[in-house]
Amino acid sequence: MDMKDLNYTLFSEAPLVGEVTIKSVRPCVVAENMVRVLMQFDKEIGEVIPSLVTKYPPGKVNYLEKKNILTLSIHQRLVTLYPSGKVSMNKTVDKEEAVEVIKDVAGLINKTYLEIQGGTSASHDKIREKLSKLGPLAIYDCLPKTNCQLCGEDTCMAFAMKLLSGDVELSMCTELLEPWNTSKVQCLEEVLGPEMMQSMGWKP
Amino acid sequence: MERQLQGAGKILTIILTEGPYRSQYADIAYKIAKSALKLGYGVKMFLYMDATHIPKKEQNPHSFPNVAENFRKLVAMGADIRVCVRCATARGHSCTQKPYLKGVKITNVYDIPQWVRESHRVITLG
Amino acid sequence: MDHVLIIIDKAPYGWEDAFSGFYVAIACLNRELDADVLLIGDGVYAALEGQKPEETIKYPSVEDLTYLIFPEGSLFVHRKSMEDRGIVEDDLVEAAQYVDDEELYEIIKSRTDGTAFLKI
Repeated sequence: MDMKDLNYTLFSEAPLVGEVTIKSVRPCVVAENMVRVLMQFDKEIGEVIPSLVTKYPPGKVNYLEKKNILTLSIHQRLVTLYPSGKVSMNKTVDKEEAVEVIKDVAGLINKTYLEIQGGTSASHDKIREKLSKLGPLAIYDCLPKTNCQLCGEDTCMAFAMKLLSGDVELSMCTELLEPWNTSKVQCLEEVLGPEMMQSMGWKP
Repeated sequence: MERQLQGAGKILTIILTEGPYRSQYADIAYKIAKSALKLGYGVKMFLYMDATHIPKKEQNPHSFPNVAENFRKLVAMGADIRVCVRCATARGHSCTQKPYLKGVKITNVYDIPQWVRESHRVITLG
Repeated sequence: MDHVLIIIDKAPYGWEDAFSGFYVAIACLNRELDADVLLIGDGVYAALEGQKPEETIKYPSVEDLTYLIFPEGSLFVHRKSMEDRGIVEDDLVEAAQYVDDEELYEIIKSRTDGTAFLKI
């Protein structure tokens, strides 16, 4: 196979990651009839990875701080990002699907890179401190606590736990959109931070 | 009154990776398995890499105990002995030729995770 | 038992053990049994980056298998074994995590009850 065929342009003008090359396609370890794809971005992403950690719900993120390797449980598969710009993705149908999924991630990488360049991204220490304080109780305190069940969960506590694991989205709590709950929304912004709120499905 | 055997309900899995005679591992495995079976343990043995030579029929060692005959006794005592197909066929023991002792099955490495789940102890020799 | 730690102490290509050991790890992960690999002694060579055996001795690459383990399973490389052989972290595949003796002790201690240790 011609190596040129395996090189895909994701964005014609990108702040950081513009292209991805497919390095290998192998049978997937955990899913029959699916593949695991190993890819390489055209740029290193090591400086962006720590900031990416807060962009996703904690339950979907596995960050190996010692090696700066981030594994995301997204799009029904595991996507592992290495600082060198290498990417591995399992449970994938084919390389075209892999490129589609990775384009989404690359977009967020580029956006985060711009935030870091523009100085609008929180420092790593602040992020670590925030994440260590994050638990279901801290989130529950910022919810309406009415157990109205409109979100589909039995209690607000159950909703808080599923938010952390990434199994529900903030937008499902319609109560939060009510004008008398603005203080709750502010509370959530304090506890989660605006980026994580967005990745949890909050639409301001 | 029948005393319940020590090992009743428990399973020991032994994974072997070395061939017979050059090293003593096959012999050691036989002795461990035999004792365990006598004590009522369930015994499963997975033969991997060069251990796929162990249950070959028609072995005729000159001064040493016949490893295949010992493993035949283990089968008779109820041991579940399986051989990795990839390693066996690489070494020329093809399924169609029926190279092994009766009761020894040619399967694949996926037996290992299943056996690990079911076992109380797993040891590797090699 | 609900977890497997596969210990490899032989260098790849010289012995089949590294290849076969990773194979067992992959089979376990394939059947949803937690599996990690520990490279110790000469086994640390299995995590070197840039292996190209297909071009020379026509053997399948063990390095490729290291990419199939992570992130579902961890790849631990024994630090002292690396130092004894003059290997540094930069020489290894990205997914490899070096562990010193204290960390190794903690890993083993925390898992002993349900872990099957398989030295392949």
